Amino acid sequence: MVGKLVQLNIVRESLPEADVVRVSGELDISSSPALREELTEVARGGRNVILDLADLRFMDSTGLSVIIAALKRLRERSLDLLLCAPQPPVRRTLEICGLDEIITIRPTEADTLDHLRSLSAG
Amino acid sequence: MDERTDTCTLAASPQAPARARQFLAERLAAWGQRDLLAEAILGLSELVTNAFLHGGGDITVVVTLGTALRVAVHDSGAGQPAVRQYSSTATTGRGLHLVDSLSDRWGTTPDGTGKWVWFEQDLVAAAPAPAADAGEPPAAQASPLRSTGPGGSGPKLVRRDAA
Repeated sequence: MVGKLVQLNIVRESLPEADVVRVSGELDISSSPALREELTEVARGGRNVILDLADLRFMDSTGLSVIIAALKRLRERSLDLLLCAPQPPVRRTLEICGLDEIITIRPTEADTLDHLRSLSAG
Repeated sequence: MDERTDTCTLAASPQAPARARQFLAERLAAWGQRDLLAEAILGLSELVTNAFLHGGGDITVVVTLGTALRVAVHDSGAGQPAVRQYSSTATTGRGLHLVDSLSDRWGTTPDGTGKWVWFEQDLVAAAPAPAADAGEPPAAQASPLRSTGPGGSGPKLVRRDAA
């Protein structure tokens, strides 16, 4: 009955506007330490961070905890964490816990980059 | 009443929530209840995570489909869970808040070896099933879509409200 379990894949790319972290798979208690480590490391870069959720199929409250910890760490340094492209199940988790009210969530990564450019231009 | 049930026992480990989700997804697919999947999977993931973090011993998952979908998780811990108040920037404490939001009912039932934590989702009145779905036949034309009250023939169920 128990087949191969889906892991979380994490890819980081440094763009002119921000450091982008793209995650795919499922984010729960077994996979969240890897993302926690990645976001802790990327936060040391002193730049805004975009977490691209387009290929994330599942996230529970453990994943929310990782996102909130990274958000706090970045905002302490006057930087920001922005989310983009959450799919319906992930968006639901974000909304139920009110995270959509305290964090910027944009529909696509390109849109998020535009948003950051407009902020820095303004 | 046509009621279906299945059980899965998992070693307490960080992988237990993912294995439990897989088990539930397979059951709901086989029972033609994909509409309930997203909420049930998330609720189960929260309960199994709590059982791993705060419970003890093996984790047992029982899923039952009758007039409602019932998902129950057993661990050997004696402590009773409670919804915590949390601020929007707190990093923990959201698990049972999610379960409370996603389910129609939830609660805990201590037993001699630990406790059950469970939630139920009432079945939504289904639109006519798509003819192309070649899976198992849909559940027996559901009778009244309401639970017949707490407990039924099972153990007494205690709803615990937010502390």
